[in-house]
Amino acid sequence: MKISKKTWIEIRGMTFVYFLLLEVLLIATLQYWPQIREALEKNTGVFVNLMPGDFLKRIVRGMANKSPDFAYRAYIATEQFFRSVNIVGIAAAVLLGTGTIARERENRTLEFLLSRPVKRSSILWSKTWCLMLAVTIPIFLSSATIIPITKMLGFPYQLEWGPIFLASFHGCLFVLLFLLIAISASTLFRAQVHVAFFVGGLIVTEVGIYFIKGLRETSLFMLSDFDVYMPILAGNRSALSIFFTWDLWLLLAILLLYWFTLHRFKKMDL
Amino acid sequence: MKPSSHKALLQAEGLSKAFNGTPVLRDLDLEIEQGACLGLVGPNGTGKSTLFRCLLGLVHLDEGRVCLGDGHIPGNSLGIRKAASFLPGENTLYDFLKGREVLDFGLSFYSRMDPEVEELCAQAFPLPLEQKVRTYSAGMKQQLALRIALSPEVPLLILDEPDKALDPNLREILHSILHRLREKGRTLFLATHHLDDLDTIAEDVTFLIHGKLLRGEAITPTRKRLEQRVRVQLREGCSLPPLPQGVSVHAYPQGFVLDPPPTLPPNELAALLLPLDPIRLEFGKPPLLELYQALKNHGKDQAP
Repeated sequence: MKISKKTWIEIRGMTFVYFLLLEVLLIATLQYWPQIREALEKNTGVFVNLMPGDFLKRIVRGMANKSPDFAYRAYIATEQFFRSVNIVGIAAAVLLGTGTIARERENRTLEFLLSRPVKRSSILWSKTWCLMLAVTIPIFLSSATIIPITKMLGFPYQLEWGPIFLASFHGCLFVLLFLLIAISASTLFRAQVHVAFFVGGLIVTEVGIYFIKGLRETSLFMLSDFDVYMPILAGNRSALSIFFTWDLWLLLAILLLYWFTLHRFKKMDL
Repeated sequence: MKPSSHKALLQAEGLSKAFNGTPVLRDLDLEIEQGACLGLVGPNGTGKSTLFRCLLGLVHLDEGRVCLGDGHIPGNSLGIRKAASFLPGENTLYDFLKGREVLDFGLSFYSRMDPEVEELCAQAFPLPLEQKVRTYSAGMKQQLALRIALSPEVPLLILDEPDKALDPNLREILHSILHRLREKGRTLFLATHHLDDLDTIAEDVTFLIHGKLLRGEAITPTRKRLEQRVRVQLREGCSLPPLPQGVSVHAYPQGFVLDPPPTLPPNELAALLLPLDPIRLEFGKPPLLELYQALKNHGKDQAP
């Protein structure tokens, strides 16, 4: 609890800014939906033709769907989950995760911390769960405001809490995967900037692969794109099917990365 | 572990540690008796901090083991950290926290505090605890680190340069706290570069030279040889009188060091210098600094 409290004091400012960013993006995005919807309805064919990839064409078709509810859900799947969670969430996970051990090493506070009568496994766990909450709670909170904001803006669309919660849960797991990658890398390098460079490089490569036809299927971002979130928000996927299709593997990958980090941290010298 | 006639609180045997192939500690043995105050002296970069880190399990040993008291399982570094409070050699405090938060955080891992020492430290090192640590000077950070290291009620205190960045007045106060800790039966193991201070605090001193600890019998020949030396500081205008054959003379800005041959006792050599009414004339127990320099010079120690 002591280490978690210290970690929270360290990251609370960043966490608040991260939540604020998600929320501002969400509000701004939802506000412009009527104009976007109108433009898409009038020029669907033009927009679809402008899109370079099949998946982008699917997004446009989704948002131009004749059913206003479906189109609005496609818009939320794209803007909140495919864009905000993937960009802002992963950026926050990298910023927060890369410093977990590397910043302590860099600031030479690791010696002070490790010399306390506490197991290394406790240190890592205390830091990790605090960071996990810091990157996931803003996603849930921000997503939870979708329905109230929709009502406040006077939109007539029907949204349900269940699919939004499921999409948030899946988005959180995906972001946690990158948080754990960042924490693991934090035990491999001495300077936080090197960790950030490594994890940033990995993410840029993955995004690059996602946009290459033929290689796209091998990208991690296939696990968190429009084609994943749209069926969830449309209510076409049950919680169990989502869990066994994607989330179980994400959870296993997160656990594996945590095990690797713990192993590295236990073996690590100052 | 070797049997010992004294009750050892901490025993280390065959400690070896190398970094990138460069050995820092070589088959090092150490024993600290309960209630003792052992000083650690060594040149910069010889591995004093590494030794402390190895004892506490912060750095993994290549070889060797560390034991704490009776019934302690070797390799259980958590057990050692529970019984030992450590002051790191560098100011390694969280500067984004307030002084109070760092103090509470550092102490929260220990089950018991010594209220008397806690109070002593609070009086000796008054700090603006509601300010962020980043606003503290180096000396203030060291005082905060000392409050964290000295307050827990643990049998062993491992202090890496506790007097670093402290002014002479605070150093004196620190010494009085360390003396009080000794009276209370705590065991101290500390490293410092203020050798004169160490002479007054520690009852025993060990030298870390070339990855090995030199202590007790290992330094007796050097100590005995230095005990034969006569150190003299003459008044202005005075020069050394003709000296008996075999006496080697080493001149220093602060005076002369005379090495008599084994056949000439130091008191007889000193008697020859007395008529000059020197400012300083010493022989017998060598200053720690001289002993340290002689050991550091490792064989070529004809003079400090």
